[in-house]
Amino acid sequence: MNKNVALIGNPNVGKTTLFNALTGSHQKVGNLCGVTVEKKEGRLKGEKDIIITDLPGIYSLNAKSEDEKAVLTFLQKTPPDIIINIVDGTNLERNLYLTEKLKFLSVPIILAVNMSDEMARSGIILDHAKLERDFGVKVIAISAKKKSGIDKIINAVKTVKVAQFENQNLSDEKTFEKIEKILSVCLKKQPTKNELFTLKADRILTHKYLGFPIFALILTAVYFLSLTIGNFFGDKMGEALEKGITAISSVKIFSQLPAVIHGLIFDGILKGISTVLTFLPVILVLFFCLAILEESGYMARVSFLFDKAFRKIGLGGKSVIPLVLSCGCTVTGVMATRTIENKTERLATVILCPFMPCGAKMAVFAYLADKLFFGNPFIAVLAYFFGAFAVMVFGKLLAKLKVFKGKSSFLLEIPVLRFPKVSDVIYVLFEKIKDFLIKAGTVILSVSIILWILNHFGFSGYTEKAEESFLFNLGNGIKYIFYPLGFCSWQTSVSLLSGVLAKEAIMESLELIALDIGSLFNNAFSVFAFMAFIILSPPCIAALSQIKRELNSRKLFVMTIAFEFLAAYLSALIINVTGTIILSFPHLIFILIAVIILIRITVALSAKSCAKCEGCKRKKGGKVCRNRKNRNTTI
Amino acid sequence: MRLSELKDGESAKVISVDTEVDLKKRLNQMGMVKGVKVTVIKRAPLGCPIEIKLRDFYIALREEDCENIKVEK
Repeated sequence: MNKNVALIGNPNVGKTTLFNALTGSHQKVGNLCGVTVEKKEGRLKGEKDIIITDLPGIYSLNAKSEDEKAVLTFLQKTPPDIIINIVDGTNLERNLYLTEKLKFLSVPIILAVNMSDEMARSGIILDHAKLERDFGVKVIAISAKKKSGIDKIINAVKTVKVAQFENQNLSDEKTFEKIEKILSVCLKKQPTKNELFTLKADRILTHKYLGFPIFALILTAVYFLSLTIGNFFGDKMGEALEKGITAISSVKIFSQLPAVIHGLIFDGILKGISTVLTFLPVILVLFFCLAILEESGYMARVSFLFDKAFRKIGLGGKSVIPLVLSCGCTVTGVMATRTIENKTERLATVILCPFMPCGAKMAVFAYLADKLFFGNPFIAVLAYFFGAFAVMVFGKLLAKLKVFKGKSSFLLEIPVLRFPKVSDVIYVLFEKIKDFLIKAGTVILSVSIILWILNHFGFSGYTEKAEESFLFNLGNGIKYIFYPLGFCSWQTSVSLLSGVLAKEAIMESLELIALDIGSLFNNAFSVFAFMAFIILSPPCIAALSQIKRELNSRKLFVMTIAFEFLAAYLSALIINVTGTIILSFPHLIFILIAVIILIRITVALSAKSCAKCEGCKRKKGGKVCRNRKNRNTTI
Repeated sequence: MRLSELKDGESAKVISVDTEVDLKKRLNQMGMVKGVKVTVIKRAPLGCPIEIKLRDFYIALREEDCENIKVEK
């Protein structure tokens, strides 16, 4: 007979770590609420017939949030035989609220009091026997991180008896009163060492003047590190790969192959995949840094810093995390929007996430910088500033739409800072490498094959001349769409088209079909226009499907794609046109400045001063009086 | 007085939480109920939100929500 055990607890109490310790399998532990969105199952180590289900972190059984609803339906549909309720021992009052509510299910509860090591270190003393007697549940002290107490839990799971709870439906106030009363007898508490450290560190991290510069510094360092370290290893890898490929291709068996097959294998598949592969280090370092920021709890501080500023553009403090994570991968970023409770803020964030250039786009820019700007790492960093700027401008624009208006509330938890667990960060990296290799084996491989075939076959069959190929005709067919943007060539058009599948494919196809990348662009500004178009145009298929899931509305989804395409097109157009004008008529700038000054003077002279004050020359209908004394009066 | 009127570092007892329903519910479940002690840790650099210590943990709330939470010293 199978025994079903449900693992339940508040978010961020080490639930997933305990699950891993109990089952031996591994999954990600995050410092954000809601990392475990779906339930996971595993068998208890050494006990084949005991199945443990890891459920999303919840605070109550109220069915208010998506996660709570999911847990409640699960518990009602398939009532478990035992509940392991894991609680944070340094935060008992609040955690026991859920325990009290769980008693209603009339299922035996094992209370796993986690962080026993941290409690001992900080001098927090809990009388387990008393808590067990007064609260009526089995209490076991554990440390999921240090894997202590796990065997006691396994034992308890095997021997636990039927539960006998007196079901009282207490109000929240009474529930906390009861918990306080019980804890006052059996708990001796004081601030933990981590908490004291956090308070000190936060004085600097969210300092009035230092907070923002520190954030800017950290983020710039992250991108700079990923580009320099990543490029260094990428270059080494690229050299090695190239040597290897040339060596293999000159081996007799291969060099005797017919030209078509030889070309397809070496100039198509291997060249395409190795181009993408050389940028794997850049993406890995980026993910490593982002994982550390996320796991340490710093991201909550960033939300705290930015909430007010972000509200001005229709987003909230919690939008920062998805946007920063989007710099790694749009899919992760869009998924992280689930922590935003406010619907309008959430939708706006989902739509704006793709504007932050993801790791793959960054690889494309590093590639372009390598080919066109002597490998300048600031080209890619510039892309982030552009992305952030686009989020501000288009966020403001979205906020003006009716759909995105509405009152919002904000409740942010600021977790205690902690050192990220090495194994968790390494796990994130392994996942990333796995994802990347799967992508290389599927999307990138097929793009390579399709591109090569289309590039070497035309209406008259196999051809060495690019001008006769299908690809040339396809690219030529659509290239005029991009004429106003300054990159009107079949190669760039094809590369953008392939970017729909995966953004890495942009550089891959450029590498495969463009002989001289510089000649594809009118001038440096059209390169920037090209980059802007890549940043803002709708993301890859994987991200699009995630966005569709989160928006949960076909109409909104179609509008999002149209919006992002338009945003990309217009921005690229503005950059190209401005650049072209500046380059062709440098003196025009001065004329323009002169005209603006002239207009300002005429406006100032012709304006009537408002009734409130004589000194201010603002025209009627202007928004705010210029005179400082009357700042609050609208003219 | 209101929670938003407390200065950084000051503590008070909660009298009532009159915010919008969903937020009130969530605050209640976190243990922000009548009689609990709350401490204002600090305000964000731009003045809002406000970091508050509630029981053994820390949360941040916007100023307009803090205006709807009555406290007494």
